[in-house]
Amino acid sequence: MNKISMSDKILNINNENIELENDSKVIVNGKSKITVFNKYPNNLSLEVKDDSEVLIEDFRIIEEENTSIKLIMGKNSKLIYNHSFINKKEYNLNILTEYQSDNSIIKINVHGINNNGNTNIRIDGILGKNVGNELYESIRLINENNGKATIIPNILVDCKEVVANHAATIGKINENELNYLMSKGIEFKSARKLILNGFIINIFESTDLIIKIKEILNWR
Amino acid sequence: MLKVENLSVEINGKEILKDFNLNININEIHAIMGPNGIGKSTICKVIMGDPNYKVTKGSIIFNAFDLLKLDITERARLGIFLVNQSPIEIPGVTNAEMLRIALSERTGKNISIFEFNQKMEEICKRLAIPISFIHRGINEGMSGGERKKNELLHLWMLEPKLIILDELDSGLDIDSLKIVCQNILEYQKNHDCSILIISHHTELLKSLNTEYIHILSQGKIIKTGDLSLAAKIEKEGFKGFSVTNNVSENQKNE
Repeated sequence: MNKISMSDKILNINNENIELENDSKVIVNGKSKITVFNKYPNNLSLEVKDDSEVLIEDFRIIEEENTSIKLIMGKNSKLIYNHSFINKKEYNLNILTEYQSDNSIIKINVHGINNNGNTNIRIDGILGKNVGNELYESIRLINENNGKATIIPNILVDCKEVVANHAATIGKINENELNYLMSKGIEFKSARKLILNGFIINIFESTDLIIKIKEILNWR
Repeated sequence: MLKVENLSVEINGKEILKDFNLNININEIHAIMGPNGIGKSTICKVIMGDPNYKVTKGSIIFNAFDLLKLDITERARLGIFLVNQSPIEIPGVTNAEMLRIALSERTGKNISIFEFNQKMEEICKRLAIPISFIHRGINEGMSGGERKKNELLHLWMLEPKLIILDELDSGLDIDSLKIVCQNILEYQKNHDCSILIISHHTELLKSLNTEYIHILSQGKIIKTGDLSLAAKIEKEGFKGFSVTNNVSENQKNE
């Protein structure tokens, strides 16, 4: 039987889908999934135990937020962090990785829209001396109106047997995509909305989360 | 239906089309041939309204509407439909979402979901594509051939009056090309519609029953004929037609 135990904001998750609370320490055993919907888990510490896996799907509309996430990886563990957001004011996201042993994988995918917001993303990917670890970072930000963004990727490697990958883009909405949708008879405004909504949802796997996001985006 | 007169077009200050003329009447099928980089795709993009191309002279009239005064959306709503050489993908935006919005904005009415889905499913069968295409991201993760069929899904739903096919056969295997050509002809038979084809391949032009073949050189049409002209080009190349272009310069632009 699956169990979730909590004490002093520490969650032990085992095969459960849960919604994450603020200032949490989460310990993952087995295969787990965590969904964040418009909540702000400031100062999250997440430990993935040996031979465990976790998928985190995190969507937020941000007014003003500072989020620090520490990812602590056990042996043969795997973590996928899919995060998308719309930032209207100020968002500072710091992610720190700590590989405690060998053969672990972290994949970080971030899609963000700065709608008049200022976003700063810093990822300290510390792979250390352990072997067989992998880190993949993919960050794509779209600046709308007067949005601004900075991405600071630090990858520190002290061993030859690792894979470390970083990809980042900051840009405007894709004009070819806009022209394509307009060539089907769609108004500029609707085409823009379709593209931005698609950009926000297309990194998520959870159908429930996608439906929730679509509801909130259509309402907006 | 479409009348292009003395059209001159440039991109990044370089002239691609110069005094270009073309007339397409209702239900006619035309093709433009020419070496790579001579400006064939430019014609497609300018008719559709790509803002990256600057029209410096001339006019494009479609069913009495001056296209140069209209944006891409307005041109599409008049019934112009472009199938690009490599249709782009838009992750996260499904075919169904896009088509529902396109149809409801065009008609100003809410679309009946039942009728919409029923029609989409019928078209998927006709195109021999899985029904799952309906809710897939636009061209997302699709092969070249699947993308072309996906564009035809849009075509059947949006019911255009002028279809522009830019290198339709690129990315299509023989079986898929057959299905795609049959579909286009079937569509044309059931709708009053004209077709403009850009292609190097006579077989494709034959499959689509092309009536008029035009050769493009130095930014304008220098010769017009029937399918025998395409066959001659396939056999002898463009050398016999005094086709010249600043290929290297134009290729940079295309």
